[in-house]
Amino acid sequence: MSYRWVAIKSIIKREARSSFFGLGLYIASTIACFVSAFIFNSYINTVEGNNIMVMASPLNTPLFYAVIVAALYTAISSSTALSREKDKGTLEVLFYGPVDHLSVILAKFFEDIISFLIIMILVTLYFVYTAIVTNLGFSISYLYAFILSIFIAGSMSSFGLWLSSLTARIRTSVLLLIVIMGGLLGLQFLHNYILTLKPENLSLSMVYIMGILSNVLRVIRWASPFSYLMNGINAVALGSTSMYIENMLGAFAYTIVLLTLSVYTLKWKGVRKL
Amino acid sequence: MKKRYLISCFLLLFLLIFSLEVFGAAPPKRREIVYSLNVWDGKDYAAPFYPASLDTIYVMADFENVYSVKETLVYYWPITREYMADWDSLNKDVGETLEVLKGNQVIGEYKKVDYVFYYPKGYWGGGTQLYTGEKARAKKKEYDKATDRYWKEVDKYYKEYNEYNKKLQEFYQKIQEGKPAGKIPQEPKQPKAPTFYVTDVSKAYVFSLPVGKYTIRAKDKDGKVIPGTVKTLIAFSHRREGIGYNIIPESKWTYPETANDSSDIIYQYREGTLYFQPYKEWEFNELEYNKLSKPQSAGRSDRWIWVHMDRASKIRLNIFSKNSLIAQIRERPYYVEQIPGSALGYNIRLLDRKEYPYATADFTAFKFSVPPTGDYKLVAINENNDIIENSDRYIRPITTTDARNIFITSIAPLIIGIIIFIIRRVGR
Repeated sequence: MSYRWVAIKSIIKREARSSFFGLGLYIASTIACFVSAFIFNSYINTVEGNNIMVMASPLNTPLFYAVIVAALYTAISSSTALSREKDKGTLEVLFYGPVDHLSVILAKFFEDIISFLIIMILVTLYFVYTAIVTNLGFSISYLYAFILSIFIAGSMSSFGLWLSSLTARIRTSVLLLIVIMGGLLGLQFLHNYILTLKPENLSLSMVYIMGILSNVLRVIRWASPFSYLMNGINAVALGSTSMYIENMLGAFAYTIVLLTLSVYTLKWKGVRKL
Repeated sequence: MKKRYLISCFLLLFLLIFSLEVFGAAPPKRREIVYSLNVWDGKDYAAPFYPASLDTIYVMADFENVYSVKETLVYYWPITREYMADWDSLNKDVGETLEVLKGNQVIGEYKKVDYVFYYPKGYWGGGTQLYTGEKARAKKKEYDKATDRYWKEVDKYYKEYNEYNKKLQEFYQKIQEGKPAGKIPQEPKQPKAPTFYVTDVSKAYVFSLPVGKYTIRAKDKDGKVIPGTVKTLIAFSHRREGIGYNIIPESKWTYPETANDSSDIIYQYREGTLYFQPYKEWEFNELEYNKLSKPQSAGRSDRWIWVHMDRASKIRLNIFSKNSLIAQIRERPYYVEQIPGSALGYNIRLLDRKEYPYATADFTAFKFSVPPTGDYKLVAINENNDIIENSDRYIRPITTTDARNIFITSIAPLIIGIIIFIIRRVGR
C-alpha cells in the first residue's frame, strides 16, 4: 500500500470519527427530515382534501429537499475543511509528515462523502418509517435518486473544497460559499419559477428577464453543482435513463475537475496561514 | 434640474414600452410561403401551420394527413410568442406537386386531390374521418342531400304547424260554443337536422408515410422547387400502448384524476369509493407530439407522454391483493342524485335499466370500494382473458391523517446524535 493511501486513510479515519461524534451531522439530518415532514404533511392534506392523489414516486420530492440539505452540509463542511486547518496551522504541521496536496484533498473529499452517506442513511430510515405509517410506499426510483445523490454530493464537496483551498480563513470560506451558493440556487429557483408561468401572462419585461436568465443559466449550468442536483432529480422524475446517466457522468467529471483544481489551488496558495 | 429631466424621460420611455404592450400595436406582416396541415393527432385532426422560421414538420406515421402549401401574411404575436397567419388577407395555394425524399431519393410525388372531413357526430362530436377523391365528393353529396331534405322537411313542418294552429283554434272555438269538437288536433313532429357534418370539398396533398425522417418540397408547374418549401418531415409513431384511467372519487365526482402510467400510484383517503374510466392510450415522445399540433410549442425529446384515445370497451377490471384476486369489476352506468331538501350533497347510484329504461346515465365506470388498509393492484383484462399491457395500477389507502407523528419522528436523528455525543463524553 502506498504511503499516500495510508495517509489518506488516516486522515479520513480521524475526520470521520470527529464528524460521527459531533452534533453537526445529526443537526443536518434532523433539518433534512423536518423539511421532508412538511412535504409528507402536504401529501396527507392533499389526499384528505381531494380524497385522491395520483403520484408516481411520492418520496422523490421530499428526498430532493433532503438531498439539498445534506449536500449543503457537505459543501459547508468541505468549504471550511482546509481553511480551518490553515487558520489553526494544523495543515502546515500535517505536511511535515508523508502527506501531499492530493492526499489531503482526497481525504477531505471522501470524509465528506461518508458524512453525506450517514445523513442519507438516517433520512432513509426516517422515510421508511413515514412510508410505513402513511402507506405511501417505496418505489425503485428512490434507489436511483439515492445513487445519483452521491454523485451530486461529490460535486458539492469538490466545489466546497475548491473554495476552501482559495481562502485561509473560515469566515471568508463560509461567506464565499454562502454568496456563491445562494446566488446559484436563487437563479435556479427563479428560473424554475418563471418556467411555470404561462407566456401569455408574462409582461414584456418578464419575457426579457427570462431570456437573460436562460442565457446566464446556460453558462452556469456546467459550473453550478446545483444544476446537476436539479437535473438529476428531473431525470429520476421523468424516468429518463439517458438524462440520468448524462447527469451522473457530468457530476463525476465536474468532481474530478474541481478536485484537480483544488489540488493546484492549494499548491499555489500554500498551506501556511497567511 | 437635470435629475428631474432624467426621471421624466425615464417615465416617458416606461409608458411608451408598456402602452405598446397594453394597446397591442398592430404587428408588421410579411409574405411567406407556409405549410398548412391537417394532421391526425390520435383523437382528431389538428390544423397546425408552419411559418418559414420552422424547418421541421411532425406528422403521425401510417395515418393519412393533409398538406397544403400556401402564400399568406405572417406576423409575430408577442402575447403568445408565436407566429400567426392572417389567412383572411392572403390565402393563396402554391405549387403543383409535393415531393417526399428519403435521403436524396424521391420516394413520393403527390398531386392535389379532393378531400373532405366527415364528422359523424357533428362538428364538435369527435370521431372525424378523412375522405378523398370520389368518396369525398360522394360524402359531400350525401351531406348536401341530407341538409336539402332537412330544409324541405322544415318548410313542410312550418306549413303543417300553421295548419295545426288553425285547427287548434277551431277546436277551442267549438268547445267554447258547446259544439262537438271531435279529437284534439295532433301537433306535427319537428324534423331532425342531420347529426353529421361534412366540410366543403377542398384540394390538397393527402398521403401517409411510414416512420422515418424525410425531406419535403413543393414544385411549381414547370417542375422547379419553390423556394422556402424545403423542410424536414418527421413521421413518428407511439412507443407503447396501454390503458389510462380517469378516476372519479365518490366525494368529488366532478374532479376526476388521471393515472396514465403504470408507475402512477393511486392514493385514496382511508376507505372510499373510486370509479374508473379506462381509455386506450398511446405513449408518444413529448417533443414530437407537442410539435404535431402546435409546431411552435416546446417539448422535451427525453420525455414521454401518454395520450388518451378512445374509451376502452369490452374489458373488465381485476383487483388483486397480495397476488390473489379479490374482485372482478364490470362497467356500469351511474347517475348522480342530489340529496332532496336545502342541504347540499349527492349520492352516486347505479342506473337500473329495468327500473328506468329511458333515463340517461351521468357516467359509466368501474366501481371499486377501497378498503381502509392494504395494497391493491388493478389490471384490465380483455375479451380473451388476457391482461392488457400497461394497464396495471397500484391503489393504496393513506392510513394516517395525523402528521404530528411524522413531525415528531423527524427529530430522531438529533436524539441519536445527542446520545452518541453523551456516550462519548461519559466514555472519556
